[in-house]
Amino acid sequence: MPDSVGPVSESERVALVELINRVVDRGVTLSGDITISVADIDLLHVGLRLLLCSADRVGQRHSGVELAHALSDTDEAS
Amino acid sequence: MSGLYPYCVLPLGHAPAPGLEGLGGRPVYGQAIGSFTVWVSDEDEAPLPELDRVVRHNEVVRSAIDSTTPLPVRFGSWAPDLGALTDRILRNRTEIDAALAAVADHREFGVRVSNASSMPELRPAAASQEGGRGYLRSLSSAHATRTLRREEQNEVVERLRSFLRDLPAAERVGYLDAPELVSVAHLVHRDDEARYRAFVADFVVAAQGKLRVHLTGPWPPYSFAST
Repeated sequence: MPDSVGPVSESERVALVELINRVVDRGVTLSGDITISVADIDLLHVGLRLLLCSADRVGQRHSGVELAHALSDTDEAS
Repeated sequence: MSGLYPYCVLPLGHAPAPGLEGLGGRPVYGQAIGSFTVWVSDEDEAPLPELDRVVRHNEVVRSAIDSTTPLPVRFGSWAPDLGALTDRILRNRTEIDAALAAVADHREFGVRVSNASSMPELRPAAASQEGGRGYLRSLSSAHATRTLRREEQNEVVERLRSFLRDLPAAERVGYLDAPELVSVAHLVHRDDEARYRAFVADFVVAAQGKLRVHLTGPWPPYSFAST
């Protein structure tokens, strides 16, 4: 049975965007013999893959654009 | 032999709850490496970043934050075998120890701010037919637009800081494309979370509806886990 499809609230959208930014773009990076599968894929492709998946799962007009947008956050400062 | 997919690093002895499922529904277990426990599941190859997997990765790491503070591993890390994972962890043990100490007893929150009115994004004037002079004018306009926008973003960050009164242990600012402004990550001690939420609520009230503010969290300390 397919997942229910319905409008996603702004809060849900923000939570998803914040989640993806953290999980894909932050955290401890283990390099060397460890493969980081997103490291060699440019973020646009990451965004597109997520877009394709989210289009199925979330199934509403905001998700793809917003997810791609989430991954395009610009420079950061600490 | 299967490879290993790591989710997070914890002090030795923190095992995942029985039955916790990782990517592809595979069981998550604690692998002792040196003075750490690394939560891993068996994985034949490095996973591609699809939404289901990204969400599951977070759910595994998040399941640890009620009892302790894990050091999240970035999505997509993968080791061909235990030897490779052990090597990388032990080679970085000093940095991992320091990072675990820095985030101990803290959790991450996020404040995402945008303008409430969806004002059209300021764009530089398009280059006209005036040739070089028009091009230079266009460059100058673009620079002025970026400067104004960054000033507005920094103003919001400063205002937020004034409400939080040095409560966060650490901060990381991300500048967003219009119409959004900034996404600020804060590292907050568990004992300070109620006060932190109250301070953010005060910031929202003071914005008088001019800003849209979304508070998310608690998160594992993804934004403060660099080694």
